[in-house]
Amino acid sequence: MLLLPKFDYLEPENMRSALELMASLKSNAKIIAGGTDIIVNMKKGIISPKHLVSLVKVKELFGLEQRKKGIVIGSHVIVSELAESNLLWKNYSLIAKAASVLGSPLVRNRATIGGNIVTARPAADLPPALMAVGAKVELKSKKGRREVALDEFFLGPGKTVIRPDEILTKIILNELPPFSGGDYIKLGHRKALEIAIVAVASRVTLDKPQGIIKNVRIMLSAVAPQVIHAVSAEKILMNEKPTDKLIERAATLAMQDCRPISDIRGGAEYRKEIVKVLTKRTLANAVKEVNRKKVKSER
Amino acid sequence: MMREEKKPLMTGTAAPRLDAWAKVTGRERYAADLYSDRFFWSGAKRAGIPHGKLLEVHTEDAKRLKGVVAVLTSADVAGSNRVGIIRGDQPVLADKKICYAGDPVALVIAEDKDILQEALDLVTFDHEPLPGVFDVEEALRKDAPLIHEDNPWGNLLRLVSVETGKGASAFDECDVIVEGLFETPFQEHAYLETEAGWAYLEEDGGLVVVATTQTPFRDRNEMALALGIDAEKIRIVVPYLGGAFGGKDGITVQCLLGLAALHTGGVPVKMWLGREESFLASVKRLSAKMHYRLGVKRGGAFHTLECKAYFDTGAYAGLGETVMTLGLEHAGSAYRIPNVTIEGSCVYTNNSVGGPFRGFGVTQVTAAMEQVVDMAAQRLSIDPLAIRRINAVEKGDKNCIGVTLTHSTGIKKCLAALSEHPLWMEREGWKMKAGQFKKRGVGIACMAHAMGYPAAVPDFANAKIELTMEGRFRIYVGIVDMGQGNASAYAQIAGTILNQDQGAFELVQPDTGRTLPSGSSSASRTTYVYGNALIIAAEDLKKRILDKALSFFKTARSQDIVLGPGGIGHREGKKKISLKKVAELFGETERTCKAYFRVPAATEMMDRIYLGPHIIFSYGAHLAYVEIDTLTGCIEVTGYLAVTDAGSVINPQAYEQQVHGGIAQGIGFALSEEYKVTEGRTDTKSLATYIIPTAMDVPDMVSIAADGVEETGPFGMKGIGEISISGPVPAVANAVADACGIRVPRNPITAEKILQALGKQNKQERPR
Repeated sequence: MLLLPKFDYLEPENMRSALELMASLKSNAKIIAGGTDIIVNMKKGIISPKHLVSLVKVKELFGLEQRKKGIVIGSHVIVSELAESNLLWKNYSLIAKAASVLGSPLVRNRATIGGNIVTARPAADLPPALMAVGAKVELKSKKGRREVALDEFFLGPGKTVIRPDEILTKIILNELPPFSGGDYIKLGHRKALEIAIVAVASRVTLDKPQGIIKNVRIMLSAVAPQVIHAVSAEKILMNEKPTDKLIERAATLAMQDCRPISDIRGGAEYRKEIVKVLTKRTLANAVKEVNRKKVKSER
Repeated sequence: MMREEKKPLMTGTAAPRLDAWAKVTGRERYAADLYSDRFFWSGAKRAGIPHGKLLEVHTEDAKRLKGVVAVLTSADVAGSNRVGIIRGDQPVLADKKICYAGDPVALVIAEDKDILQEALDLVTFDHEPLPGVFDVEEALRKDAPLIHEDNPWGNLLRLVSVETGKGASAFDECDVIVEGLFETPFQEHAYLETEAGWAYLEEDGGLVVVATTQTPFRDRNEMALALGIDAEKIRIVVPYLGGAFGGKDGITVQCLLGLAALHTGGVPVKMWLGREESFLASVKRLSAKMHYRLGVKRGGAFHTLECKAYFDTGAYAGLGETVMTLGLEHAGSAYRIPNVTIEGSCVYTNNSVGGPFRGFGVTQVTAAMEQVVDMAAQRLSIDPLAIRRINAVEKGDKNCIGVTLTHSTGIKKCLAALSEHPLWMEREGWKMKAGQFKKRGVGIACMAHAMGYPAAVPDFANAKIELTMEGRFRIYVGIVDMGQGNASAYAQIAGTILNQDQGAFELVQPDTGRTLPSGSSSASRTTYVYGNALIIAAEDLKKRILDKALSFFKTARSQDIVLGPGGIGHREGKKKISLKKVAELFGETERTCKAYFRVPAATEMMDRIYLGPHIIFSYGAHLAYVEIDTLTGCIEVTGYLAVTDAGSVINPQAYEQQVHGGIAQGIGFALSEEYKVTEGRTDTKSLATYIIPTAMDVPDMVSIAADGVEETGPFGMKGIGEISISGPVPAVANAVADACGIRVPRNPITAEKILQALGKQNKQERPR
């Protein structure tokens, strides 16, 4: 039997006391949200925090709201809420899609968006989709708040810029320019309850329907210690029309942009091949989404 | 009270299981659910190394820990310290050697789980590492390190060979010869309920063990020998199991628990393996390496078969050699083949421990045989269904080891039903509709599965049924219900005979102190053997009840009165007597009927194969639809049909569940399941990396029962528990070949392997 080590459980009443608590406990404390990751790691003896701090009473962490320019998601919003959010499906479909393939219904009902980010797992589902739309996170501590782009948030497997006294409070999605579309595809050994062998999130912004690419992000997951940009693929797509031929070339470059390892889930060569296929498919679907949206708005 | 509104049970119609309500509401108590005010936890220190001489076990630090009750080693075992029903080569606690990473070196008993874990970490041992053996063919080399030095054949546990007709020399007479090397990996059962139990000493010195096991009566004898206790003093009680699939066919925690209970001064002791320990310590489906060669005549008739197989039994014998032997007996699947050469080597390695798994060796050989059948069909440009219809066995034919089939033999009926099914008829249209970068294929496979033990192992059951003082019926279930629903089938059988509704029945689960010896829950035998015994007992009880009731109706003609739900009535009069009243007329011993039944067994050709042949077989014909993404290699089984000949159907719902479960487990084996061991260390340590299918990975499954009756079966049935698991690997593999012309000869057929094979195919097809 795997047993939980001993710990104290704390439930601050509001954000202020939560920040006080984190400031005083520092590295001795860990925040527990859905617990789908931390409980497992505690049982395995990988970590054994003296205090677990639950923010279940801090209501401001549980909202998913449209703001003037974009959407703000509280760090404790559960994954199934993301997967079922019309607001997300309409504006950031790739995030909703990533949420819908995370774990199983049971995991999605417990796991939170913040948890999926701060654990910094190389194959986590939400970070690549969030990074593809340029998401930022808000980190709060007793000393103040700061916003960090997810691009700069991850330092390696399990490592982030978050300080022991800080709490990840919200995820900020700026409004995407018009004519934007995206897609997330994850490939695993089975259709649910699976960790990605490879996952790719792509987002394109065109200047107009059927137009040229003004902005593009291609995020590759499970092929490096952390999510990476397919840099050279992004580069050749800029200011070009997304023809099948160009997308094919970009996909080949994406394959060269990564250096995956072989492990129990898949070989390095296979992963590279899949990066190519998924890059191609997510880009094609992203472009399709732009043009589909256009058709819809014309109706 | 009469309960005339109650509907009597009837075989052939669906009936909910008696255990359904308690299980879905969480009230059913499994072996892991037992607690009391005061009890101890016990657990094993596992070796963690694949091969070594055990020099000394250090228990002092653990013993000093507060809350530790005892730390036991092999020196504390009074008996032979060996288990294993055939060879007895597996230690309860390792003494001289460590032969695989799951070997227990010490047993710790502690006041709670935390202390137990801490104490287990404090136990250490000294050992001298020995070079390991991890491959079956390397294990048979002369210079290979020996795992059991006293085995006269080195690392070879058993060699089994069978030759019929002219053997391999008949290949000269064949028009087409196809061959292939096929491999199947270790498979983990991954039952929901991990190994668990509860044990205590009674005041009179009796040892009671409540455990999750398929084999209570056999366990009792094994425990007695291993621990040096009189078997009569051991009582084994078995609640419903949360799955087993063969993985609990024998000792898991029983001996350790019994040993622990001898050292707690009467305090009950509990043991419950976590998932990772269960993976490490439990038996696996034996991996197999099979060279197959099939010779065929121009018209499609199979003429010659050669099968050379290696089965990896891992560190201990267990039932490994019988697993391989049953496989070899089915090496030719469900076909008539006049000339056959079969040779199988069951080999020791330092990998896991091999053992029974639903399919019992047949799943391995069927994976190979059914693929060479398709290869032959392709070479001869004969339809894969047609070639199977040409060669399928019929009653009176000889099977591949030359034994005449004298019982129901319905494979032709299965193939006929498959040929008329829309999934077969409409396959070409479906294949044509594949989208971009998709290829679709349809594959079929036949299978046979023997029922019961081999001829040299008497296969019997003792049924016991009681009319209770409350006027209900109590069935003393002799064979464990590990989830397959045999216990409920017994109620249905007795209900049909006694004309009683489901509510009239109580089931006493296997208990060596209360129920009668009836063998293991395995070998697709449970309903057949116990059901047959129960029919005799229930008929006897019915006669006794009617006879006893005659005096009440003042008639001597038993045909005048009718036994119905809850009571007895007169054909003409309104006068009725409740079963409770009848029960009061009986003496204590009269209310119970017992009966013995032995499964018919082969009497000839006993030396044809190890332990003798089987004579009753179930059959199946499967069809799989697969779609392959040619760019990622991803494979999806999108449709599945199973036609099964398991005789008449007692409960259509339970029958279908058995077929569905077998297919799902088989699809897992075909596509994703592989228990990986590298240099004796497990790579797939838990369900995070050992990938079993989810509901989303299994298609809608159509199950059809081929019309047929097994004359010797209870209400015409024969075994349904295992037959369906042997179809998915070859059916899926054949469908993959049909879709894109590639064969992946080692399951699981993963996307990566498919893409590699497609890549090789492209290179070959490219013009030079």
